Amino acid sequence: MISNLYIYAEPRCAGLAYTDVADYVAELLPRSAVQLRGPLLESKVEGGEKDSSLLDEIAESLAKAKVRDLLQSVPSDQQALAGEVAYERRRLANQSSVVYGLMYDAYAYSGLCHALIPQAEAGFDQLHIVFTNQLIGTRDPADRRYHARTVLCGSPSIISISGLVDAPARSPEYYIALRGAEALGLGEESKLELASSFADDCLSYDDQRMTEVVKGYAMQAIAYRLSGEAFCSDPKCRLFNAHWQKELLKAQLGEGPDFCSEHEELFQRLSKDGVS
Amino acid sequence: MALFHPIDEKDVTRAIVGSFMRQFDEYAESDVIIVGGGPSGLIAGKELASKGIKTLIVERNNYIGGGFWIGGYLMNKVTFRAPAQEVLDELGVPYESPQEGLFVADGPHACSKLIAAACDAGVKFANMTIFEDVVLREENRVAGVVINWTPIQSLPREITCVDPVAIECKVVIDATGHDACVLSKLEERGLAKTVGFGAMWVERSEDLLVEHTGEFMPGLVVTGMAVSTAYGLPRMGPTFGGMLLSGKRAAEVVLEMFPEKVAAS
Repeated sequence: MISNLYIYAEPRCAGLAYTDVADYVAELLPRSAVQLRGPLLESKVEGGEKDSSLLDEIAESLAKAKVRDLLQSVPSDQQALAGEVAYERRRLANQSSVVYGLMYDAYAYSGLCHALIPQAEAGFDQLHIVFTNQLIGTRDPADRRYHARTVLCGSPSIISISGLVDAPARSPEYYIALRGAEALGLGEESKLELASSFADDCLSYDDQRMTEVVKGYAMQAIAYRLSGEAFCSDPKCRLFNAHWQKELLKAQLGEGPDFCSEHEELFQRLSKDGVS
Repeated sequence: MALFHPIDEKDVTRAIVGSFMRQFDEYAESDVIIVGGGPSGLIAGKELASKGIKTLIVERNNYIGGGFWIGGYLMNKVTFRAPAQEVLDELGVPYESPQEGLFVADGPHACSKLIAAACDAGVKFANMTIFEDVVLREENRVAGVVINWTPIQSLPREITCVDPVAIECKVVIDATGHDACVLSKLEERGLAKTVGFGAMWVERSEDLLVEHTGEFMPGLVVTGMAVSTAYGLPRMGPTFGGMLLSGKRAAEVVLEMFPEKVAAS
């Protein structure tokens, strides 16, 4: 049972309608109180000088969580350069800054967010979903390298808008064409044209479809909390763990019911009696 | 009647030596020394000198401009993404826009306009001059650079061993590109740590590069591709907008260190 569900919006993603996401979740979980909040990290440092030490602390934690080498684990004692901390400070203080492109260790990022959640809201019946425009990644022990992630389920769950755009691979045809353009020495102009010709097959940062897509990812975080399993093997279910953009779009925007019969039943049961 | 006025060879030599020495003497102590005369160093120099900051650019090559003369694949077209075209407008560089947000200019035109703008603003140059080391003061504050003539390093040490000289300043800007020569020297001496640049990801790297531009350690500001090396940012492809805006950002950071000069300008 989830008594309270908190959604922390990422203000830097223009066009993403968080109210719609909150309404969608609330409809599926009528026994849960859904609350839409501002950004988690930034809300902690919006007090001016009195919070400057906390701002320093958060900025340093973020800098230490940065993945510097995709092939190496982020060491627990990673030291941050002063310039890296200064960059994080500026970014946190400026909510109109839309800079992204760095990858952060997803567990370290989640740990930082977890530490900022008040104790009174940290119970197992409370779920926090944090949206970020930063890229998060986890290291796969199989190939010993970091991979970008769309969502990290836990306490809190983190949904990465950058991850939705850049983590699932685009179509093989796109990469073949890109390699061809690079082999021919074609410039940025050609590469941008190429990317736009595949635009329908993948999400972009200001994509009008983003709101609809993140509804499914919010439900993955909820499913994980309720059942211990975030994902579904049915490629038409919104809980499907998409590795390709085409899979993501099909699972989240495809025709038919939102969920497979098993998960449809799960959420219907929850809406009636609140028991998982 | 001869076209040109008659002048003796010794007078030509005295004119060269006298002018060079006056400038060298004056700039043995500068406000800012920029190591690297590529686009980020040039635009930073232009911005600083136009505010009355005494600025010297040290460049190891004979020519100024770095890689700004040519774009990708040795083709002499340079590309910019919005809003970097605003800098082209400032410099009076013509460009075309093949698609929304993307701009293409002639490398030679853009580069020569930028060099001219830096000169017009009052920047002085020490070209054919190689950076060898940093001058450090209390608490490892960077306070100058050690330089030598570039050709010296091409000569075998058995033939010549020429000691360098040091020149001082209040702020050094590392604009040496991927090599990050100043940072590397400090790292070699155990006084700084860089991260090294990451995988190429052009779409994201320009914003990150500009946002990370700033003071790396007391007395040392880092700009251009050296920023990527310092902080392990995705390596950039052949787009120059990031270089220009990073140079401007570096100048803004330095100008904050000279409030009295900015107020007087």
